[in-house]
Amino acid sequence: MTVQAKTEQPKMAVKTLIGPKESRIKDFLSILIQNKAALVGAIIIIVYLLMAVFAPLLAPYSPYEIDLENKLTPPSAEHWMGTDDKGRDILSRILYGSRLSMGVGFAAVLFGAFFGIIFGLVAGYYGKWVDTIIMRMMDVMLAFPGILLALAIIAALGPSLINVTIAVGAFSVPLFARIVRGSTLEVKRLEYIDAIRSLGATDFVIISKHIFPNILSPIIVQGTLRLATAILSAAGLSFLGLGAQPPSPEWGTMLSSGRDFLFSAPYIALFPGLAISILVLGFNIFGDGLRDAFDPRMKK
Amino acid sequence: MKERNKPILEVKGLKTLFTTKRGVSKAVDGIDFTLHKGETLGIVGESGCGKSMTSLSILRLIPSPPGKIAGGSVYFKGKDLVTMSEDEMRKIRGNEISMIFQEPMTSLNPVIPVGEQIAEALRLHQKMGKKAAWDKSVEMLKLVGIPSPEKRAKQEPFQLSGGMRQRVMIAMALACTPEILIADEPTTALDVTIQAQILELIKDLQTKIGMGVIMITHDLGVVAETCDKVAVMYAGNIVEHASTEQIFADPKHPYTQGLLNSLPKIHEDQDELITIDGSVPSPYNMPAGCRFASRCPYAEDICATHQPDLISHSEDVKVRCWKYTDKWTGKRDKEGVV
Repeated sequence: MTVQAKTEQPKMAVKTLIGPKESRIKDFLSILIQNKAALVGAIIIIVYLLMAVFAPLLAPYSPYEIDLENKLTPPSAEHWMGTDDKGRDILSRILYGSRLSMGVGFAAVLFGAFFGIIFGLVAGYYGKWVDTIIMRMMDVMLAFPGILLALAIIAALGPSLINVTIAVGAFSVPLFARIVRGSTLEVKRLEYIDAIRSLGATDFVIISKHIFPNILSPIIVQGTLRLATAILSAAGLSFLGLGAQPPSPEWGTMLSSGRDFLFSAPYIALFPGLAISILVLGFNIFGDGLRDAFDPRMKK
Repeated sequence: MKERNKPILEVKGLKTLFTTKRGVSKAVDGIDFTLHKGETLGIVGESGCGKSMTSLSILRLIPSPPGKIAGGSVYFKGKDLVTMSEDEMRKIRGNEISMIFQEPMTSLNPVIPVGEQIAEALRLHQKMGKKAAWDKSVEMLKLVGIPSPEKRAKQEPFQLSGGMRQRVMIAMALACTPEILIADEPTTALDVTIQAQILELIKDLQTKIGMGVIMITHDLGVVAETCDKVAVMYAGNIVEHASTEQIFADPKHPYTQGLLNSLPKIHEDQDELITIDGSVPSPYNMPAGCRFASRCPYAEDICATHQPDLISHSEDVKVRCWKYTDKWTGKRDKEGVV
């Protein structure tokens, strides 16, 4: 596999690594664009981001406006995605809901990445007992199924969207820590780290200036892929009633309230479900594309 | 040679051990040497004899674990580097003792412009401001002979050739005008014409700054070119220590003789190059006697059982060989074996 990939794409491998900063970014983008799946992923993410930013302009109705006369109407010209059991416009709710879902996703991943990167860098750089203690803690966290860990955290903190963010972020920490530790171990053996130590640099300078910038690409890839999982987990927790509370237009919550009308009005659950799946798909294929673009040798 | 006063670096009985699953390896096993201001000491030996570990031990950069400085001392201006705190050590590294590495291709951070990397040492040690440090690093690039230094300083390492990167490394190492420069095979990864330029540059800067240089190399040509005195290392020991002229004119230790013999001779038509038979003993399983005994054409009984000391043979020559002691019977010579 690797041998074949090498013969297929040797120029690109060199191209991503060589060239001044601006042209490196250009090359990186051109590889990304060549990857059709990643391009689709990127477009999906951009569309969702625009939806979130311009929700008030795009939404035809208020997401909270109850109109009992028009409840449970199927998709029509006035209500493109129909209305729910309280007559609220589903399209408007989905548009507003994108803010919640993506907000929770990004916040959770940033939270997880922040602590995971610190733990990983410290464990990888100092090694010995520091490494043992940190990584065994991470292993313990990894031993729990993610959703179970999140449930436990929410049980302790109480159900709310912020607590969902913390819970989902917490189970991303060990994943980031592992990846960062591995890359740190690899980079710290390189000669330029010795060279910079021989110039008298402090550990902090070595870690922050010389190791961290060189391990960014796996972190970015992991972050993108984790976003998908985070959004899905957050929606799942809200579905279970542990996150956003009705009437907030969170997709998981909407799914959950549409559950009772699955047979009479399937569109109530269908559209939020689609919204989640497409966004998660977008992040996943974009993440895969990013990984290929950062390291073309890995391409299958 | 000029009359020189007190040495600036004095290494005494330095020992570095590596503990791995296979056992304890004595990478550096009790070596002694001194370095004076403005002097160049060559440390020669084949791969794995402990040359690089010696230099890393001096700066306390041994990867630990598995490495550990197990004994001895390194006096720099009267202070022992081995027992110094990490903080004090950091102030010495890059400021008073600098090092250049073998691989210019991997010894620079790939994502930081080279000018900034040079500036880093200045900002660390001389507390220079951003602008001042940058100007000084451009000046350093000029000093090491890089054309259009202002432009080059902004470039990242991959935009520079191997020779230029090595020049950048030298600029980095010399930015704070250190008193000692340790050059660990500075020219091994470069092609021959660049090699000569780099050696010339180091020599040139040495006279300008007046620093002592430790030149670590396996290339006897580099030694002849640059060094005032030479320490020949074999399996973690110094086996011979003498002035460069002395080593080339009249090598004492059988290993040094073997090394010089194995150089291709330019005026003779050689079909085959001469090698030293046998191989270096495993660092995990050093023989009790002389480490070179199994490969030595002169070896006697005592060589296999007792390790010789590094003894003064004449005023400037120290050698670790039984042949130059009164324990030597010389019976193989008499029998005409050699």
